[in-house]
Amino acid sequence: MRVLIVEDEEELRLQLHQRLVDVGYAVDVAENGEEGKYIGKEYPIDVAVVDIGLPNMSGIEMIRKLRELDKDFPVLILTARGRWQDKVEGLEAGADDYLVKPFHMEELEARLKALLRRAAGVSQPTITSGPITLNTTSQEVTLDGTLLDLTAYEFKVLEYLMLNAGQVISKTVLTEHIYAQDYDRDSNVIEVFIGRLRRKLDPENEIKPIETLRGRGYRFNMINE
Amino acid sequence: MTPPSINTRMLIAAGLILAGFLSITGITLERTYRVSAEDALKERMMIHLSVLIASLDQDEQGNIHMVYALPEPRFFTPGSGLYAKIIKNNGEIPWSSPSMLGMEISSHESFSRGDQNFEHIFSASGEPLLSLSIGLTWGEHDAKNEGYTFVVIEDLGRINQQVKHFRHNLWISLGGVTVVLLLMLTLILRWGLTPLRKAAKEIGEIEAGMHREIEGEYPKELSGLTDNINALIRTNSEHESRYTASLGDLAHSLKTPLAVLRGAVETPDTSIEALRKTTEEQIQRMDQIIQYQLQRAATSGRTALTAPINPERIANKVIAALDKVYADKKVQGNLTVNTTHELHIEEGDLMELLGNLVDNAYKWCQGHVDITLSLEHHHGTRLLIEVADDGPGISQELSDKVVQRGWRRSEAEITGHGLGLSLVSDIVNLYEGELKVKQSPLGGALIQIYLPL
Repeated sequence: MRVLIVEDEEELRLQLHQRLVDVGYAVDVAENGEEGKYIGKEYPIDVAVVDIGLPNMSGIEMIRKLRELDKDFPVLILTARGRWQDKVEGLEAGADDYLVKPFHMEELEARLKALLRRAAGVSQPTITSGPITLNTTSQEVTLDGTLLDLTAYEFKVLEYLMLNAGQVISKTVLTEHIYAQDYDRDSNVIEVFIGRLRRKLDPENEIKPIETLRGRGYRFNMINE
Repeated sequence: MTPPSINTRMLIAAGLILAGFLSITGITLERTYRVSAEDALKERMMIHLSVLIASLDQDEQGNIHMVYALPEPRFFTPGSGLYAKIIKNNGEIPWSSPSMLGMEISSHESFSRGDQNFEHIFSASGEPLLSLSIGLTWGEHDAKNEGYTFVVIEDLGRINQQVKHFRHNLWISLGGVTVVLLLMLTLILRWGLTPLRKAAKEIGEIEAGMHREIEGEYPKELSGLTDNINALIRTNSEHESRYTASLGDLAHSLKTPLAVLRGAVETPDTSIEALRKTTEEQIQRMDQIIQYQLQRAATSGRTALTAPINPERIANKVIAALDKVYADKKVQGNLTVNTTHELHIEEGDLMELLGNLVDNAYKWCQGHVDITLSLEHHHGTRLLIEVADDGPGISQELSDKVVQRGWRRSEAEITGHGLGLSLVSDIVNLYEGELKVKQSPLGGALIQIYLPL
């Protein structure tokens, strides 16, 4: 999942960046509203963390402009002032949740997860498809109740596919949402991840959870009992 | 450029109006005077002419003779300004007054019997004259050649002189009137604007710290303004003392966690784990203290100039915001509005009040929150805000404390669930309202807020 952090305070920006990279996000950072607007407009961002007290263009202004550009990824605002007027103004401008500084990193992560799930139309922290259960909070995947040993990138790929179940996801889109920078666009890496995931999720090749659509990408098909 | 003073504006306007008005008056008076003077002159000339006619008679040969001496001596003094002549219609001039000696006055056309005419003419030397001509015949002769034209001429020099004199006096007195009026106006203005000057002076003294508020009595046009200024000053100083108190409280209450932190750091064999735990605890404590004190200081309170706002609009905003935040919980938030009455409250304060109340309700409910706005008439007309939820409710202990007026919270009490409610209680007290905590019919807490309109 690709997250945009817009925060002018350098120390906090670095802490947020490090923390979110550690828990498996592809992270883009901006230190002011202009830059944040540019990244939000040009890159396939899944969720944004925006400080509303930014220099030049305020966070609220930035969110409003992104919404005008039809960018509808969820936005979590950070506010130092706990006044309801600020919160209501931010939420009216198009933010989806708020967090008052100082906050716990765990709280921030939980809110981001919730926003991503909500954006995908999933209200539970776990997504279940037949024998496969993915827990977005604990970042664990079980197959028939047995914990699977997935690498961070394998988990990211599976999480993205399951949150967007039923949709065709191209390799480019997958790459963009998993790597922050224009990393290695070599689609072989994605193919390798998909291959490994298939072996781990479906060792007997019975349920075929991830479908390949030649020349278009992959699709996760939900299995309903 | 600074705009001209009220004094200057009034004087310029009055000066222009006076000048226009008095010019028209002057011109009209002068014209009327001239007309009446000329009318008097014409009347005199008619009399002269009648006397002249009565003094003459015609003999058998048809010649005219002076039968009686003319009573007017000016006819006999050359250059006297009064002249007369008789012109026979065949062009002969049988008689002209001795005063005409040396005068050349262009000959007149002959008038037929009964015709008369006044005419402005000029002498050969260019002096303005007024002539009166009348056509006459003796006896029954009606033949044109037998008729005479009698002419009386008066010099207009004198009358012009009179008019000039009158004009001179007229303009001098009108000018005098203007000056007097403007002077009076200046005095009236000075008197009329005294309260304004006094108010400005008093405000200057307040600025200089000599007074706390505007004390003098003011006419009713100004008292609204001065009362509002006083109210503003009072609100301001209330705010100021609240800020000072909050800052003092803030500084004091931060000392304790800071002391704990310093103690932990300076204790020689504290483990990293213990330090981390202490730091985390104290950070949380400081955060709550700051949050509470800052929000308390930021509350505006009622001011003299607080515009009325529609509570329904604010409630809708808050509910829309919270619906977003608690989207996962799928809370049924129902707003029932039984009044369209507006409320004199600062928008931020009402938002803070509703935000905290409804946030608590959303947080603790199982799925239902009812918000009701209505009017209540028991203690004067007040707005009643009710927020009910189906959560676990609020403990008797906490609700007792909250409703107690002037409840001073210790740090331990300003945490968690109580923080929102204690802020609400502060705002309610500031607006001289009332807060009640009850059991809601939904099973959870019911908070009732009464606010004076």
